[in-house]
Amino acid sequence: MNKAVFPLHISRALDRLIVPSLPSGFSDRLAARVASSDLLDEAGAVDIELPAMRRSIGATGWRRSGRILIVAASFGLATATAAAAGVFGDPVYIPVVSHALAKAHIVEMPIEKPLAAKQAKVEKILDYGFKPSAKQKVSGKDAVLALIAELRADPAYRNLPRRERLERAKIEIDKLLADGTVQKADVKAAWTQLAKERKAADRVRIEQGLPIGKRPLAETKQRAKPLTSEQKEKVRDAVKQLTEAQRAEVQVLRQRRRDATLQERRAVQGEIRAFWQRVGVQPTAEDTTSEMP
Amino acid sequence: MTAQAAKTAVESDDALMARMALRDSNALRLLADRHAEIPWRIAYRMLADPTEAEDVAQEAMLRLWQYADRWQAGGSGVAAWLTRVATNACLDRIRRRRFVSADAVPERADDGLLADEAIEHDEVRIAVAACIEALPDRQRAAVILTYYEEQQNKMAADMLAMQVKAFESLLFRARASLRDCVEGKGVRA
Repeated sequence: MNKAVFPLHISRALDRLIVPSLPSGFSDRLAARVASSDLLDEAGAVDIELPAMRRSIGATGWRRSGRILIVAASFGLATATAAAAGVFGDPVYIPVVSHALAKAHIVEMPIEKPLAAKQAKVEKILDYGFKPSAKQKVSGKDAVLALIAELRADPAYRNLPRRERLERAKIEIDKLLADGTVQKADVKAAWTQLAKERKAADRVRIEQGLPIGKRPLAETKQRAKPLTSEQKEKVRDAVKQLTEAQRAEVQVLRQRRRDATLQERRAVQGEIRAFWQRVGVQPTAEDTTSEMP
Repeated sequence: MTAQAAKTAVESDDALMARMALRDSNALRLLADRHAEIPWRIAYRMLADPTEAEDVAQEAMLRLWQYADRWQAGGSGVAAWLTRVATNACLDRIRRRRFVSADAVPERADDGLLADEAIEHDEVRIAVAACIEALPDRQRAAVILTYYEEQQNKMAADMLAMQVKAFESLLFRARASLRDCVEGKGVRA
């Protein structure tokens, strides 16, 4: 090794590992072993080559992890294949695997259970006899909108819980997708439009003070309304008519309010309000007093 | 110097090997005087144990004795042969250590060495020995063969039965680990 590959301080440190001379009598001991035929076990079978690469398992973490992953993936694939082939009973529909097995004529293509099972389940729950109109002349996004409108017009559909309404709509849309009437992009566009329409309708109901669905309306916060200029003028006139004693009293109350804790402030505020009522001013809200000197 | 002594001094390794093939133990003694330092140095640095290092050196020389009748003159030479045999013997011993519990080993490899070194207060030397011992076996061999024994990469790769590229990659990792370890033990520029 070119010693320059190490920084100088490392090279110096490595050079400190000096090996002492051979122990004295080495040659004598060696000669004695030869003389007494104390040779190596594999006499004559000298193997100067390295033994085969013996990379121990776990020599490096990534290698071990890789093996574990490969084993787990192989096991998973084998189990999935067995299930799809019907080893554990009826063939189970597993994407890709079932198709491959059916193509190889190993097993018949099982029903695509995800859709079939979902549809059967919903049909069972929602057996209210809805039949979509046969005269679907529109296609694309309009077909989805027409379907939703038709569903909404059905009283039985309207009476269903929201979650089930959604399931029902999805199943009907899946049918449209399956027969090619609509594409996925049309469905997305229709949902977007419906969502926009719903938001607009909700906004109108909120403005009208009507509840949305079963949600109660949020309580409108009682906010203080600022004084009109006429009211302000009235207050100023009243303040001008205060006596010195009354001015001093209101100053004291104001000071108490400034010094009060949050809990005490409400009580002081009440006293201030009572003061203004007593002198003939009727503030409309708490903050009116701040308009006063 | 007598004529016999002069002849012995200049006698080539191949000639001595030929004598060993005829079971001349003096030839072995001469070769040991000439080359036994090589397996001793390699083993001492790889195993960090003088006792084991002497065992490896003796084993290498005995293997040479037993191999003498198949020796082909004009090859890579006794020194290269001993380097290879000693390296492999050390790797075998390191690998065997993994399967032997510490309790079963009467003396840990470096106990005596560390005790001596502690007396010498040679902390740097102890640190370097510990860092070399901490390297994986092949990395350790790669460093010792190329740095201390000054073997070319190609030769060292051949001794470890590796492709040169793979060996260079191994050496790169070994150097980085060794540098980090030595610096981690407080050896600074």
